[in-house]
Amino acid sequence: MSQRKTSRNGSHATPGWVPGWALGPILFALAVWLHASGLLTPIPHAATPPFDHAALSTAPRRQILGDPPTLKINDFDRTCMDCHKIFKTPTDKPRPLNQHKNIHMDHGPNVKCSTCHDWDDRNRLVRPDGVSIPFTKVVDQCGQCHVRIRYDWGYGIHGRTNGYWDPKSGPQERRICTECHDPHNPKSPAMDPISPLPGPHTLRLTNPHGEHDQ
Amino acid sequence: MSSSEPKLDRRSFFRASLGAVGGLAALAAALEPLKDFDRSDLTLDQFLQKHYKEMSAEDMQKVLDRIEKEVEKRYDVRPEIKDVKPRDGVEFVYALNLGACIGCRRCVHACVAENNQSRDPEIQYIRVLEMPRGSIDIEEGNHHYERPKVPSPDHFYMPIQCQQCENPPCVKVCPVEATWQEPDGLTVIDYDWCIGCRYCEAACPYWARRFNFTEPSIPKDDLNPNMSYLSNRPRKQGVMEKCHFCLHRTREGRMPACLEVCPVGARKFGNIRDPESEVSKILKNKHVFVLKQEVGTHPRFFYYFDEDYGPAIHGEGR
Ligand code: HEC
Ligand code: HEC
Ligand code: HEC
Ligand code: HEC
Repeated sequence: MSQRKTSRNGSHATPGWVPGWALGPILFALAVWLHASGLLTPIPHAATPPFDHAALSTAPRRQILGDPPTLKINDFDRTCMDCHKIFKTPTDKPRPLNQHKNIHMDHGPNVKCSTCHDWDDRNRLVRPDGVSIPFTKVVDQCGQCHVRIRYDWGYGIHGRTNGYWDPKSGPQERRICTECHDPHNPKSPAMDPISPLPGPHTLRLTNPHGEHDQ
Repeated sequence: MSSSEPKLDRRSFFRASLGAVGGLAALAAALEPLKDFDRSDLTLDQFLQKHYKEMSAEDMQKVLDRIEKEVEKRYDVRPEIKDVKPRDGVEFVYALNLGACIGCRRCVHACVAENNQSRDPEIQYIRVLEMPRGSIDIEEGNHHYERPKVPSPDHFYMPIQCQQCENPPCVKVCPVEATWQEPDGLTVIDYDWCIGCRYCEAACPYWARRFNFTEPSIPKDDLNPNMSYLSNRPRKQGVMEKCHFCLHRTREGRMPACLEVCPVGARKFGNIRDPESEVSKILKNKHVFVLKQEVGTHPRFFYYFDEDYGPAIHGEGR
């Protein structure tokens, strides 16, 4: 209001210099323009939304069995042979089992347990060529059917190598097949869908369309 | 004094100054955001620091000591800052299996945790594009996808980060040589030398560079104390940053953080000059491609789709 009044008193103009009364309006106009132009709008802060950092674990996704393999039965660790010494199974026909109810077989044409499990020594697996191997050598078993994947795995192309890219500098941990795939139910796609972690809230990230995020 | 002479009587002086003060106040309010651009923390040592390539080992040690102190003062953590040098006979290459990637963004956040990016505002080096199946046009990609679960069956996912080009346009446009390519192929930034002009950001065809518009903030507990000068030491406002293939890890022989966390094993890293390395085998055996080949940047970041493998034996028991 005061500006409007002063502007009527137009007679104070100094030639060649901004009249005193005009200073206010000019500064004010500048402020309005700066504000409206958005040039000086405060930079928006966008923080990382919270998420469960356990998702960043580098551990294998599946817990695998060792040699000899043990299962927890009623809080006791038992090897397969602790039981299977006693039980002799008459037939390998696919049938609903009273034990191992957690096993759901869905591996293409591999419906028989004996395709992979050593029938006489349940602490061991059996390769497609009939050779008995410990559980820790499972790669050789899968590899005799999935030949190309096995080659790729050997080169480090399939699967994952943790630790050191340079074996001379430190240990490499190559994840084995069953650390990612369930041998009884290897799904396609290989991984169950999982929740994605938060996407970008990055400041003024130019996106592929050349626009700016806020 | 005649009445036609410009005169400043008490009242009009009062009015004019009232107007001026009002105007000034408005201007000050409008300029308020500029206070975010305060860079008064520039020290004399920092001001007199030489260019990275001209620093002797002792010069560097002094600088590292100074930065360690600064970091300790700010975060209450005494970091270990090194200046890890490239290795002879090593050139780093990344390869990514698009057939395996499920877009879970584990890599994005493992990177943030490893490399001390600002959490508020958030800075991410890796962006994952969700693209409709059948298209390889990255302009169709969307990095803002939010889904309860990934992957979506109709899409595939393409993570993009610094491509460590052999012919990097970002390096060419830097007016002060604050960014350059190292012998092992990594394009690095000296955060103390960067003037924040953002030319490199504009020059990068892969949108890989990130600018610190405001003072970065990292919760003290989240700081990764294993740092190096050219990679993950804390940055300041007004400087550029980007992926450097975790050089403080990889130059010591370790895998980058984004690779170690990938649940599907889609990420592959190694030395392309070693014919036995994973990446050499991939480049030899897979149909790899690079992004925006037509712009002539020669990226060291390769993508491939793994072909369908059929089992060799269709077993039916024994
Ligand atoms: C608690 C005792 C127990 C343990 C430990 C045990 N099993 Fe069994 N398992 C059984 C019983 C009982 C059956 C038969 C179930 C049926 O016929 O319904 C069986 C069945 C099987 C079968 C199906 C074929 C058959 O013989 O009928 C396989 C394969 C098998 N077990 C493998 C294993 C392996 C491998 C381990 C170790 C990792 C293991 N078992 C550990 C009790 C056990
Ligand atoms: C394609 C090969 C294959 C077939 C077929 C197969 N298994 Fe297995 N099984 C394995 C492998 C490999 C392991 C070890 C898994 C690990 O280390 O996590 C295993 C582990 C087991 C275990 C112990 C781990 C657990 O999850 O409880 C049991 C029990 C078992 N199998 C039972 C069976 C039964 C019963 C059948 C038949 C219905 C069967 N398997 C068929 C490969 C096979
Ligand atoms: C006796 C041969 C044989 C063995 C041993 C074998 N597989 Fe398979 N596997 C097959 C066949 C056949 C298929 C194809 C299923 C189909 O196409 O439906 C298959 C499919 C798969 C698939 C893909 C599933 C899909 O639908 O795309 C995975 C993953 C897999 N196997 C993993 C393994 C792992 C891990 C092992 C070792 C524990 C293994 N296989 C051992 C024969 C075998
Ligand atoms: C790091 C986890 C990981 C490990 C270890 C791993 N795989 Fe896979 N595998 C995957 C993923 C993810 C896919 C799906 C994407 C792809 O095709 O690469 C897959 C796909 C497969 C397929 C199906 C391929 C197709 O074309 O459908 C087979 C078969 C397979 N794996 C077998 C194996 C065998 C055998 C091993 C051990 C030698 C193994 N995998 C080790 C993660 C793994």
